[in-house]
Amino acid sequence: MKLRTYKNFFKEALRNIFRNRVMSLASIVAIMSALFILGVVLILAFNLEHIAGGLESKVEISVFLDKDIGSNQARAVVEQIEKNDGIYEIEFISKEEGLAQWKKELGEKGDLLEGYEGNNNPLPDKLILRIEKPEYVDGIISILNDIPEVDKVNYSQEVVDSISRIVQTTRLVGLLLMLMLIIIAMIIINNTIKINVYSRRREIRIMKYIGATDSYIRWPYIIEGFTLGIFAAFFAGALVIGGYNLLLSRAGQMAGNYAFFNLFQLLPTEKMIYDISLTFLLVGCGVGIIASIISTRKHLKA
Amino acid sequence: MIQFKNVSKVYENGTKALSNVNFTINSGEFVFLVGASGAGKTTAVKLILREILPTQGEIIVNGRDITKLKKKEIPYYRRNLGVVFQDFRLLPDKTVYENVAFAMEIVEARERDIRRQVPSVLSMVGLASKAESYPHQLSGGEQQRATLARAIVNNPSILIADEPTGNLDPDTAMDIMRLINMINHRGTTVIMATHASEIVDAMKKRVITFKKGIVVRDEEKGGYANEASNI
Repeated sequence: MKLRTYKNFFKEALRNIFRNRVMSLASIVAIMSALFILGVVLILAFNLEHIAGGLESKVEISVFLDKDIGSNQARAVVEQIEKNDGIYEIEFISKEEGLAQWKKELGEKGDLLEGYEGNNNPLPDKLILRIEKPEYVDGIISILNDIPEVDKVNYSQEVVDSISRIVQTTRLVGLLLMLMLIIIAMIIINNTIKINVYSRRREIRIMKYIGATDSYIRWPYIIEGFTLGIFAAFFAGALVIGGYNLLLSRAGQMAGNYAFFNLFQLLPTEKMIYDISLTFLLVGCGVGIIASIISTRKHLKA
Repeated sequence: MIQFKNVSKVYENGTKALSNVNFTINSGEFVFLVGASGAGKTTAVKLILREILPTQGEIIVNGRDITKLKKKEIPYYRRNLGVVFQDFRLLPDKTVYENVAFAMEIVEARERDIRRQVPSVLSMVGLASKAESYPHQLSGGEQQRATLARAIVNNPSILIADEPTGNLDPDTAMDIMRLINMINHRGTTVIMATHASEIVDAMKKRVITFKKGIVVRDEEKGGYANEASNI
């Protein structure tokens, strides 16, 4: 088709939107509502994921080195362990630091430890490894066990397992919610476009009588569905992100007053803006286009 | 040229609309298809428009058996036909000018040709002053003129009119008939399905009469026969 014809399609689509403005507005509101609910669920899912990620990084492995190794050797071991994947932090607690900590914990009974300083120190050097994900634990343990300077490895299998379970369940719930809402949004958008096309089925028939090809009839509808989708995605995005910002500032105030709210940090908006906008555009415009194709096809057959 | 060869049509619900119909319409002819409701004339029109397929037989239009057209070819085939209906079927959101121009846009005519051709056709049907009006602002007769303008703007070889005067008062109907006759004189084959007996009798054209799906009469300069009205 000629370039000018495509220009006509755009003109035609925009005129249709404007001429059927009640229908167009209703479509935008319907698509926007569907996207808004999807957005709320997305934010929920992203935050669940955020919390789950936070929990995952709570997995720790304590490593006790041989008592009789020197600090240089200890440093070499740390470097060796650092090379492995899945460790995002290593805290090194030397035997001296360990003793000082212990003393502090004992408080006024600290003098019980008098005389254990220096060469008499019974404590080994200790490493605390913070692990990115529970999945890494087994591999890291077996590596640790192969290092001769490592005397003992401590970690709680139960804690690791339960964190793993919670995280998995949370992710699954988030994912299911997201999928469900995406499907619901698609159904709503599809129906909206379908009604839009149905209300103009007479026009489609007339165009067919005067010899318009199917794609000629369909193009303006596709552009229209796309445009309605863009508008709806834009408004829904503004609404969701604006609403979430408001919630964040409220939560910030609350956190100032109640320590409980510090337990779960909400994800900052910047981290989601891209994903949400992209999802809205894809779902809004994608379904707008596909629904236009499907619903015009039905009337084109006649 | 339009040729029906042993054409039969049985609808899915079992209704026998046409039984073994044969006729030939030559280029430039003016032919009425008459008969009572359900006699088969509308089915014949739909078959020529390739809106439906016959159960049996061949329909040759301009040398091609249109029953063998691929789905993709149908729009291009229809561009050879101008169509006029009882209920006008103008696009309600477009002005008269836009409605007529649209028929040229779909064949991707040049902008310059559209700007020249549309006003000329509109003045030919006497609607030049209503170019910017919307269909709902027009009388029935004016709407039918606009439809005629749209039907002929691409110079089709055949004009098909299905009850074009059905919604019009007698005077307006005669105006429309004069227009259709003029279009015929320009060389366009005209096929008009109707049961307006006074029009058929006045025009003195070829009449093909349907009765219960069979062609019962085919007369040059015929009239609206009793067979058609007495059912």
